[in-house]
Order: sequence, then C-alpha cells, then structure tokens
Amino acid sequence: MAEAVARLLRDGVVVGEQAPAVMLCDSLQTRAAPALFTHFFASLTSNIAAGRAQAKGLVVVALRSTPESYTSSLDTEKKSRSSPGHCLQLVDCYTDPLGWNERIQGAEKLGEEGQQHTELEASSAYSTLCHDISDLNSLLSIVLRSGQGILLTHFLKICLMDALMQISFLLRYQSVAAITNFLSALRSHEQVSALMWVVHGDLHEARVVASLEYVATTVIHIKPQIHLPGQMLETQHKRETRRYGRIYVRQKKRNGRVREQVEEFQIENSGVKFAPVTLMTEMHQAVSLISSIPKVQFNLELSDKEREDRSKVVLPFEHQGDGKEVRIYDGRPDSVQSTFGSLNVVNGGSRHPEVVGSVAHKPSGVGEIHYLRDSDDERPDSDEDPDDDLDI
Amino acid sequence: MSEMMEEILGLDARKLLPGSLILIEDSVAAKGAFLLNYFLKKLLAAPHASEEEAGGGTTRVLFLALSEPFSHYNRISRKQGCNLISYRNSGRLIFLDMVSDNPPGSVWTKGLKQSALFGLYERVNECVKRQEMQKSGEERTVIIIDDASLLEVLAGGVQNEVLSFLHYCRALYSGSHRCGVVALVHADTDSNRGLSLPVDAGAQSPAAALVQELEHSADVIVTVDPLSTGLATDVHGQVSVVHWTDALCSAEFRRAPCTLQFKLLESSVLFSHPGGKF
Repeated sequence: MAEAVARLLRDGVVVGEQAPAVMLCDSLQTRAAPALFTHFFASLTSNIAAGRAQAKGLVVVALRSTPESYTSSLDTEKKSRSSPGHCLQLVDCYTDPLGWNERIQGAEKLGEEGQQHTELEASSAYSTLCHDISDLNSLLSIVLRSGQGILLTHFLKICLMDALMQISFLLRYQSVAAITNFLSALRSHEQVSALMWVVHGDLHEARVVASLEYVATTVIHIKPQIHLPGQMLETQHKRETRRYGRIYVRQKKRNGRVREQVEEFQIENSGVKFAPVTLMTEMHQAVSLISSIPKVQFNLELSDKEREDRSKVVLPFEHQGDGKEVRIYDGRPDSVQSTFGSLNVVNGGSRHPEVVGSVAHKPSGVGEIHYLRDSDDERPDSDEDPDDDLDI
Repeated sequence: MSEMMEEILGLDARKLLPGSLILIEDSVAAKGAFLLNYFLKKLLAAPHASEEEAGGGTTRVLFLALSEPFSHYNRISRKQGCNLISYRNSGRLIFLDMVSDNPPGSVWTKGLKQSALFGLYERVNECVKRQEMQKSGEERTVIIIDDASLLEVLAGGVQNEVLSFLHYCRALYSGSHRCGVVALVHADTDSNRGLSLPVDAGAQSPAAALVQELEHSADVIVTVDPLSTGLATDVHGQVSVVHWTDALCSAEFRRAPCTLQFKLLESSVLFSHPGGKF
C-alpha cells in the first residue's frame, strides 16, 4: 500500500485533473509522520534522480524540521549529491517564519550581521528564505518561483512536496479556510505534479482535519499498533511498541470510489519498513494460546501421544488380570461360585476402558478390598459429585 | 550514580544535535527543576575537562531564568561543585535573570505590541550573537529555559507566542550550528490536556495544550513524576526518558522508554533503576 502511495507521487498528475495530494496524519501516540514522510521523500527523490518520476524537481517547504535535515538526508544518497540544486529546492520557513530576525536586523543595520546573513543564504543556494508565513499568497509565489528555478533547466513538471509542510504549524497562524485555499491553489497549478503534507491530528479539531482531508486525494492515518490484552504482557513487545504502527490509507479514486486499506509499518534506523497486516484470526489464535496457559516452567498441556498413553494406564486399584479366567459380573450370584469371590476389572486397553467385574477364586482367609467401577462414562478423576444420583 | 542518567539520556560527548528540543515535564507533586541544574552542570562542566583533547567544541549555555533568580541556581550549583560565577565571567554561561533584572511586565512593554515575546527574543538573539563574536571555533549554544510555562504568562496567555519563541530559539544560529533548547514545562497546568477543544475557530485556531504542542516537536521528553506507589523516604520520584529522535544519542533512537528513580540530596542527585539501590 505504501508503494502505491509512492507510485502515486511518482506518477503525478493526469492531464485535466488536479494534482494528487497525500496527507499524513499522526498523533502523539506514534509520532511517526515525520519518519514516514522521510520515507516517501527519499523514495521520490531517488525516483526523480533516476528520471522515473513525472516530476523533475522537488520543492520542500521546511516548516517544522530544519532545512538541513532535508539536504543532509540527500547527502547520504551520493548520487543526488552531484546536482542537489537541480532536483531539490527548499523554502526555508524554519529559520524566520514570522520575520523576527528580519526585524532585528533591520533595526540594527549591522553590516557584519548582514554579511553573515547573506553568507548563510549563499551557502544554501538552493533554498529560499521565507520571512512571513502569515502571508500565504507570498508563500505561494515563493514556492512556485523556486519551482520555476527547476523548470528553467528542465521543461517538465515539478513535483511539489510541501514537506513537513506541517500544516499544524501553519494552522497556528492561519485559518483553516486560508490553508485549504492555499493547498488547492497549489494542487490546481499546472506546474505541480504532486503534493504531500503532514498534520498532527490530535492538535486540531476533527473538523479541521476533515476539511483538510477533503483537499487530499490520499489520506494516511497513522495509528499505534493494536494491542490485544495478552500481547501487552510481553515485555519484548512493549519494548518494541514505539517502533510499530498501522497506517490506514484512504484513497479517493477519480470516479469517486473510496478505498481504505490497512498496513503495518516498522520504523528502523535505516528507514521504514511496511508489511501486510497480520490477520486478526492468526493473531488471536496465537494470543489465546499464549494467554490461556499460565507461565510456568513445566509443560501443562498434553500432546496427543501423551493423552493416548494416559488412557492406557491401568489404575492401581483396578485389578489386573492375573491369568485367571475373567468373567463379567452381572449382579447375579454366580452359578459356579455361589459366593463373591474376587472382582477383577480388566482394562481392555482401549481409550475408554471397559469396566468389567470378574469373579475369581482366591484363597480364603485373606481379607481384601474389591473395587467395582460401575459406570463407564465417568472418568476416574472426574470431580463430579459421587452422590449425585443418590436417591434418599 | 549520575552516569546511569547520562547513559539513559545518551548525553555523552556533548552529543546534542543542533536545533534539538529537550522537554522536561514536571508536575506539582514532583518538581523537575533539579534536572535543569543537572543539565547545567553537565553541559558546562563535562566538556571543559575534555576540551583539550577534543580540540575545541565548547558548549555555551544561555540560561533564561523566569522562576528563580541567579542566586538560587548559584547556591545549588556551588553545592554540586560547579561555580556558576566563574563560568559567567568566562562567558560560557549567560544568565538572563528575568526575575530580579526585570520587574514583571517590562519585557512586553519593550517589545512590539503584537508579539509580546519578541522583545525577549531580541535579547536572547543579542546575547547569542555577542557570545559568538567573542570566540570563534566550533561551539554550540544551548538555551535552558526555566520555565516555559511562565513564558505563557509573560506572553499574556497567548500560546502561539510561546511556541514561536521556542521555535525561534531552536532556529537561532550560533556559529554554524543552531541552538539546542532545554525547556521545563508543567504538565499539569494545562486544563485542556488531551482534549480537542470544541472552540469555534474563526481567525483563531483552537488552542491545543501547550505541552501537547511541544511534545510533538520535542526530540527527547523527560518526565518527572512522583512515585506511583505513594510517598517514600528513600525515593523522591521517578524520571522517565523517551527518545523520539537521535538528538542525544547516536544509538538506536526509538528505543524503549526508560524509567529511573531519583533521590535528591543536599549536594547531588542519585539515580537508580526502579527497586535498585542508590
């Protein structure tokens, strides 16, 4: 599913349609949106560098995380190192989003200060500073202008990825209407190939998130991994719980069809890995198996063979056949032996042992206790009340 | 014993990522101010010893004190074997004492009307830049704020101001690096914590709790809690550390949250694993 999203960003816009827009929505429980964002960011940059994508460049509006974090992530990919300016343009809203620095510098008019500033700007030739994010129109024009910088070298569409276009950050200073307007203006612009942004769902009202969802074509809700009661006990799982999660990808097709799919992800140091969801039934089985048995050192469950062997065991009070003729006691006095002799119960060796009584000769004068089991359906160790059928 | 804390924080070899935010959340029952002293001491003292072999790379600290005056921190640090006055004289510590320097209210009359904390930021910026001019070389500046909840009071209750201020502190360049920020906030003073407010948002977007907003952007969250089992004479509370990014330790960043118990002594802080000995 995650690949589908990456493909969506890669393939870009269809003629006559608005650009696809991906929205990532997370909460404090996972805080995984930045990690997922970097994942899509990396896959798109590699696609662009390889020329597979419709877009020929990338504009990142850095609002929440430092612009350096984007360029450094590119630096690690050596192939894009050769021409970073061609493929990536940064709009730096991080350094001075409200124009405070500008105001201070304007007031001071320190030559040295100014020099340093231009130095900084020169060192990042492929980034543009934005001094006022409260003016969305100017931000829009900055974004599009930096996109055109790429456009001049390549005559194709650019891909705008409004990176940690932390809408949450923008929402502090802007109304929802202004932002949705800004986003749809970007989407409908002919240069834009695809769009992506991040929202922290728990910082805003549901209606704010919903209205942003309307603008997006694909919404990825990031939720923590589902914990079944048995699972939580496992310390190993608890340890790993912050690395796992689920994404609920809701895709809106052009014909109006909405499809929601679920996938699991795992954040590793090298990146994010996606996997299909472990089926609930599988999971449940595993969990019930684990949870029903108390944690002890010995095995409490019987295997099939053990169960069979156990049924073969002849209990000590059941007399063994001692070579004498075994005759079934039917309650009537024996015709041959007029008195009670010995009663032998022979285990037939089957799973449900036949209960038989037998009368046999015994040398008289020796006292014995004889046991007669009269019912087959009662297991020897059954905890059924033995006086159940007592009729008083 | 504080090595244990160091290890869990990953605060080794001044590995504080530029532009990172370490959030200390405390509550009424367990104050977290001792951690500020801990950070102050670690940042000032530890690099100093290895300064020669590391070849420069000092950490400077800008302490923005809103709740207690300098004399308070100085007294505590001296008992812990760290002389703040000498650090202040050498320029490695800049102490912005908002308690005794400024009568309350003067900060926001100084700044422009629409942004109350702009004036304060101007001062911070000025201090950092001045510091930068004094000494060249590889250096980092860490801004410690005690406490960010009082910033909200200073800003007249406007949360966005506080968030912008903290954002600017993180974005501030000192040399070639951005400043790191260590901030203390009170987790229990937000009435609407964990709720999404059904406020009608016209021009003003609904205010999520300050702590919640900060938690979203923090790299490391250090929570100070009283013991869940109640009061104890030997243990004064517990500290849990959650790493969200690799701002402090280069090792595995999304590792399990760690909890330590602490005991405050006159001259030091002792940490131990839950149930362990101090």
